[in-house]
Order: sequence, then C-alpha cells, then structure tokens
Amino acid sequence: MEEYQGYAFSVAFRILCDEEEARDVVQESFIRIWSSLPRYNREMKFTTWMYSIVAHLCYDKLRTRKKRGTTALDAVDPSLLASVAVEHNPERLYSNKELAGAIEMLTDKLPPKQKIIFVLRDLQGLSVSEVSEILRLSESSVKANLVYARRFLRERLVPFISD
Amino acid sequence: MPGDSSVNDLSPSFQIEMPMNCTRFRKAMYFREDELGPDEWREFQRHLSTCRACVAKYREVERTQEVLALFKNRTPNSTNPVAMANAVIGEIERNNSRKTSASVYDLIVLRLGLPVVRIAIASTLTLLCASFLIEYTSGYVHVKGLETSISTSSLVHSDFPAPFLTQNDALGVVSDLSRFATGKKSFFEVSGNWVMINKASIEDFILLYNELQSITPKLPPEFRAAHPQLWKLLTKKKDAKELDALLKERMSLIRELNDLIPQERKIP
Repeated sequence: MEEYQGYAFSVAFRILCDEEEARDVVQESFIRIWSSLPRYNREMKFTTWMYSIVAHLCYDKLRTRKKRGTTALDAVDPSLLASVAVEHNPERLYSNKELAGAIEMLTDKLPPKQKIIFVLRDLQGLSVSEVSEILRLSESSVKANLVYARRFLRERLVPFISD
Repeated sequence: MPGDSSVNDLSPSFQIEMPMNCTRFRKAMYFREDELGPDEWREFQRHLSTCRACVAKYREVERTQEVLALFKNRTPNSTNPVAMANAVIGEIERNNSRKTSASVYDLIVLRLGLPVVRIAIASTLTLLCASFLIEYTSGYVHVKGLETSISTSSLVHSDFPAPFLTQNDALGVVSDLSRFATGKKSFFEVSGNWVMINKASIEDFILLYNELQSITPKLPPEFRAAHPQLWKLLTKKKDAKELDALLKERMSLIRELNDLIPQERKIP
C-alpha cells in the first residue's frame, strides 16, 4: 500500500500543487479503492485503475476551486516570472524555488482536464494510451489537450528561459 | 471528463501530407517521437534539417521541456506513509461500522415503514422505562431467575410459585390466605422469570400460618367450608411439612440475597 500511496501522492500533488489537498485525495482514493475492490476489473492494471480514481478526485477538486475562483497558488505573485533571473544552468534553475512556484502557478492556470493530462503524461511519464485509459478519453483527444497545454506553457516560459 | 474548456479532438491538419510545411511542423513540434507515427516523425526530422526558422522555434520547445523535466522532480514525500495508511484503514473501519448500523436502520425503519415503526419503538422504550421506575420505587426487590416460570398471566395476586403443591392447590391456598389476611398483598407476585419478594408479606404469612396451625382444632366448620384448601394444608401433616420447608427455604433465600444485593436495594 505504501508503494502505491507514493505514486498516488505524487500525481495528486502535481495536479493540485497543495500537500494537504493531495493527502486528502490520496486518503479518499484508497477508501474508494477498498470499497470498489469487488468491482475491480482485473484486465486493467492496478496502477491505471488507481490513477483513474486519483485523477477523477483531483478533477473534482480543481473544478471546485474554479467555481470558487480560488487556486492553491493564489499566494504566488504573477510577476514572479518576470522577476526570475534568466538561468541557463539547469541545476541553478532547479534550485530556484521562485521559478518552480511560477511554473506551478502557470500549470494551475490550465483548464482542469488539460492540467491532468499534462501531469500524467509529461510529469508522471505515462504513455498517451495509458492516459487515455485512465481518463476514458480517446487518444486523439489526449494528444490535442497535450498540444494546447504544452503550447500554453512554452509561450509563457520562453521569454524567461530562452538563450 | 466532459464539460470544460479543453480540446476534445486533435485537429487533423498535421496528418501526413508530404512534404511537411512550417505550419504543420509548428503543430507537430509539440509532440514527442512516440506520439507521432514513424512516417510523421521522418517528415518532421526532414523539415527540421531544412528550415532554420523552425529550428529556432523547436529549440524553444526543447528548452521548455528541459525546465519542466527539472520541475517534475520537485515532489514532496507523502510525509508519513504509515500514518496515512492508518488513517485510510481507520476511515474504512468507520465507514464499515456506519454502513452496518445504517443498513439495520434502513431495514427496520426506512423499508418497513417509517412512522409506525418509529412510534412502536418509542412506545416500547417508554413503557419499559416507566415499568422499571414503578417497580423500582414500589419497595420490591427484583431477582432474576429465582423461580421457573409458572404463569404467563403476570401480576395476578392469586399466582403462587411452584413447587408448593400442585399449581391448582397453590392457587386455592393463596386465594384463601389472601382473603383471610383481609386485603394484604400476596407474598409472591410472579411475572415470567422475574420474582418480586416482599419479606414483610412472608413474615405475615408465617405468623398467620403458625397461628392457624395452633388453633386448627378450634377452627369452626364455617372456616373449613369457606377455606377448603387451607384446611387441607393445615390438617395434612405431609403438606404442612412441605410448606414449612418451603417457608424456611424462602427465608434463607432472602438472607442470602441480602448478602448479595447492594445496600440501597436490600429487601426491606
């Protein structure tokens, strides 16, 4: 359980960018997994099933946030990106917490579905077909959302990271 | 996940058409090798090797990927996995107990008829509480299981516990004694397995019985006719001995009970 819990938490945290909410989602996910075990389709990989439950719970959280008009990253100043020094050294970039915060803020501006697809594919490293199975979307729909998410991030990041 | 502003279908505009132009390239450049078919990837590479403007754009995409690749390593640990596991297990157990009690409630109250069952349960509880309070304050001590059940018609003064005589005889004797004792309560009232014992009544009965025994030869024929069972008891030695034994047994029982029963509920 601990092993799967780690996977679930990393997905939930990357989608929600909030430790407390991510922990709640993981807890709720495992309760749902437990109560739905009799209905578990063994043809599906367990991790795929688990990601599906986590992703859908995160989706609900994101939509609730959108309705309330709040995000976990409201505290981040949008001007941060502009103030972040241009770094060409990846190690320096990684150590730059402001940039990480700014990226979180940017991903948080994606529509919920695009954000989840982007996290599962680009941050979690799942294949397009796995993402499509998890979210029950067609592969072409997953790819289309990926294009929009990646373009959105590139357009906003490039001014600060280009050579 | 329907219902948000995301894109639902990929534009077919960059499907393979040879040769790939800049417009198609700038859509395809957001895909990775494994997201494009082999033919598309070949076309993509060919255009990349020939178009300087697209190379510059593609570098931006690569640079973004590098930054995001660094970002994706930034995930905190799920703090305490054991604590979280315990929380999950605890929540599952709570849910299970809630479900069990809810399902019993559903079955009894919701499915079998809301108002009737609720009223019936409330009435039963009220009656139980009331009868307990009445009995508790009436001066009797309730002792469970001292007697076998001899009567289902509860709280009738004429009931008498076996094995005094046959039950009919006992009923007759008690009836006679009750009348003779001019309105005093019977010494035993039996209701199922619950026996109420009143020490004063038993002592009254013993006194009365002893007195009657001492004056039996002097009792008038009217008494004999009016109280046949009692007369039988007083004159037949065997039955009288049984009654003696029973009364002694009762008294020693009361003494034993007094040792067991808390002070505030001692037999008066």
